[in-house]
Amino acid sequence: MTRSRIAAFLALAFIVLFCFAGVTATTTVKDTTVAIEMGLPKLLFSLSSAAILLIPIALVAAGAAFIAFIQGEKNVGMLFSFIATAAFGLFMVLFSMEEKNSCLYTPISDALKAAEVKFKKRDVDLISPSFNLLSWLALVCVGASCVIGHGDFSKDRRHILKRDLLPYAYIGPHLFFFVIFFVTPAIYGIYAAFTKWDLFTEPVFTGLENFKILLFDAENTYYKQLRNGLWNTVKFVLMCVPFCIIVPLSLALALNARPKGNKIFQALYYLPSLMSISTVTLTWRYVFNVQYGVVNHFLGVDANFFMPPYTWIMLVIVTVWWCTGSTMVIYQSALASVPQDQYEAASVDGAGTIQKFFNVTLPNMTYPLMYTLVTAVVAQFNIFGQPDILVGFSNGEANAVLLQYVYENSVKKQVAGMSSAMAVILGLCIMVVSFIQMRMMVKNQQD
Amino acid sequence: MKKTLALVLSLVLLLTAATAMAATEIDYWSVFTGGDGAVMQGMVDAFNASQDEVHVNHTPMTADDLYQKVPLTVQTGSGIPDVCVVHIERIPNFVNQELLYSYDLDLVAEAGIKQENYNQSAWVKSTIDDEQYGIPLDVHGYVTYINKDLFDKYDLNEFVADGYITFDEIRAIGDKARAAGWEGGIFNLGWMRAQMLCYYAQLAEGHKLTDDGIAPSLDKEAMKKAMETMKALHDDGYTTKKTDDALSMFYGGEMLVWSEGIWMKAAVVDAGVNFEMYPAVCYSPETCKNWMSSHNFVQFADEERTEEEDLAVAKFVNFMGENSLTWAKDAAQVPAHVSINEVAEFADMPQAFLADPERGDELAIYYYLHWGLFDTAFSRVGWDFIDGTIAIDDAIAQVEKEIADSIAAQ
Repeated sequence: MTRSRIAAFLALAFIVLFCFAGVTATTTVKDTTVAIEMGLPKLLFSLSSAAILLIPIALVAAGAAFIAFIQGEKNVGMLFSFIATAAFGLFMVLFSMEEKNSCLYTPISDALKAAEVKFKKRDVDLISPSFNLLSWLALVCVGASCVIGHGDFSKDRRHILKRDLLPYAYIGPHLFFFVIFFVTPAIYGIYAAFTKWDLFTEPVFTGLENFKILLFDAENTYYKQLRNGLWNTVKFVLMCVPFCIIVPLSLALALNARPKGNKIFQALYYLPSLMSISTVTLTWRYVFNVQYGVVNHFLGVDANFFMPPYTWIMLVIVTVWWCTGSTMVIYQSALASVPQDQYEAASVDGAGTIQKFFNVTLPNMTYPLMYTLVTAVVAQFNIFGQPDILVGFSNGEANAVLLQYVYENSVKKQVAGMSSAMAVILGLCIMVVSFIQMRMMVKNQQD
Repeated sequence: MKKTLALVLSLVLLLTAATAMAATEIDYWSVFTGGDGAVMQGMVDAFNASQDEVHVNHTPMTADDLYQKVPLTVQTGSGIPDVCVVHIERIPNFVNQELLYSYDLDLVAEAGIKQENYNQSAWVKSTIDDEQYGIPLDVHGYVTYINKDLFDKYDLNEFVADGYITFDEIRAIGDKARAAGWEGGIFNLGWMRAQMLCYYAQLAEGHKLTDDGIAPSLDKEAMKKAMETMKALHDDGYTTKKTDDALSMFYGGEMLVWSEGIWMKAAVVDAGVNFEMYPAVCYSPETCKNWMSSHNFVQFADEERTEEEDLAVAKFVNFMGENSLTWAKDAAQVPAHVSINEVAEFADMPQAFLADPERGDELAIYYYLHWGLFDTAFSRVGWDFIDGTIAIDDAIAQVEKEIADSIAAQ
């Protein structure tokens, strides 16, 4: 067996050992000592200690090291093994240093209650954790994979080492933040969807219970919320996305004709994209005010845009106004790259403006159009601020979108498990729609 | 060399002395963001100026923000404020989640805090399992303002002569004023939850929201009647519509009777409205009740907090109680410290009737472990049952079901 394969085996052994490793914690309250054992995978999902964030980094790095060693990339494998060793080692140190570890408090508190000790949280001064043999063995394995799998450090081969590792130096900072702020919360969010969790105590794993309620329990509040929220979200996407394409495209075409003052107009159209959603919605709230709003004033009506049937119109206008700028600059860039000779040839053939648009401009803009379509759909599926600030849950929740329910249920009502399950379902919907669109985009490119 | 050494030693001595004299820093978060926020800041400044042992840093924020942020600080263990003001209804759930520390009554007594010094109905509501989790700052509620100038102009004073305004009198006020040419608003529907709970308390025995303290069990008939009363007034044209700006109408002399919190009194004074304050509109004076709440000083769980800081907090809280005339005068609240009843100036304030011990039965403080869930669920149906988007029976059933489903999912 080559060194690479041994190192790969050790990196894999780390992941396997982690699954069975655990920690023992003891505490003494009022002369009663209790001890609990907790597996590291469960610890990983207890969602309540900063040190635990190092575990996903260690696991991801060990997985990457395994793949690199298998492919014979010893230098890369060594790098990831080192990261895994450092992250896991640091986790063990930091975790042991916490005097009253919040991950361990809940099981310790349960053990104290089981021992019929009357106590308050402040009576639990110190919870001493100690990692079991498998935890240390896991650390040794991943450390050994780093040592065994290292590449050739001879002087004349250092440039190879540099060549292999330099790309990771470039992507390293991004990768670090990506794992911490995207991968880890996403994993935790998905896990939370399978639990009952009030945000403050230990999540209780309930399997598919939340999904069963959301998808099949027609009498349950959350079943109704999911149906209403998802349907409203889909309605909004269908109403809004076409305008999110047509309006910026029209403006880009107009600006592409270089009218006088086009730079000023370009800046003005782009300006709303720089504003926060709160600013945008509060501004439009006054614009659409029933008694004092400029819209009613100029139209000479007293329409209530905050009530059906006008609410969706208002939400689409606000959203398009906010999103137009960033899409418009993409179209401007695409329009600038359309070959002029094609327009000249079309002119020679006697094509008019409309024919040129459909036969020259659009075919040259397929990719940016598909790209903006995908991003617009994803963005509008994630609509939250506009309906939440402008209409909330009023009008019989006629305009309540799914993310409003997700936010309210998790943060205000602390029904975080159910809320995460709703978010997972929304995520799946977005993935399916995006997948179909991406397939269409690829097919279009091939054609 | 000697001079340098002397200088260094002097500096060290000065630094040591300065450190020894440094005030204990207290982080205080409150839910006061409007006019009452400025008043509270003034009281904090007064406390800081009154002594040099404790320095309080006040951070005001909206109630929703505070109820989201503080538990998260406890969860992460960093940035936990030393003392907070929360609404009394929130305390049971915070205790249930082990987020609060109870007060050491011997320690706070050193600072002058004793049970007998406080409004008893507020004090006992934050006593759980013989532990004291809150020290009340005030009691406050939803009351009724009238525009005195308009009442004089349209000769409506007969309807408030007994100190109460009934629902029948609201109709009579409207009819009489309109007959005399009044075209403005008569009465408003504003904060639906608060108004409904005032009327519910008048109809439901013990204004209960639960039987066992956990599962919701609303008195459906009482709640239905309270909601029907509100809807009937609206449908018959005696209240504002959803799109009306009741606050601007009352400030601008375009509204006769205005249902609002007592905390708006200072703003009404600033707006220059000649007003009088009455209890919540009622079915009859004998059954009148006001939905009340109470701002309580609480201490969220913090392992790092020292006994010295706890004592500093107690001194601050006691100062707030003993100097609460400002709170009554400028923020228009009813202080929970009993010393306020001995202040003649307070007796002349419009909200003083809420502190009258003989009218204690008129105060309805709700107490429910899942108050937050009730609040959210009822806010959902707020205006919808008024404008007919949802039937009243369905709205009540929806509220109860949502609370039950949420408890099951937590």
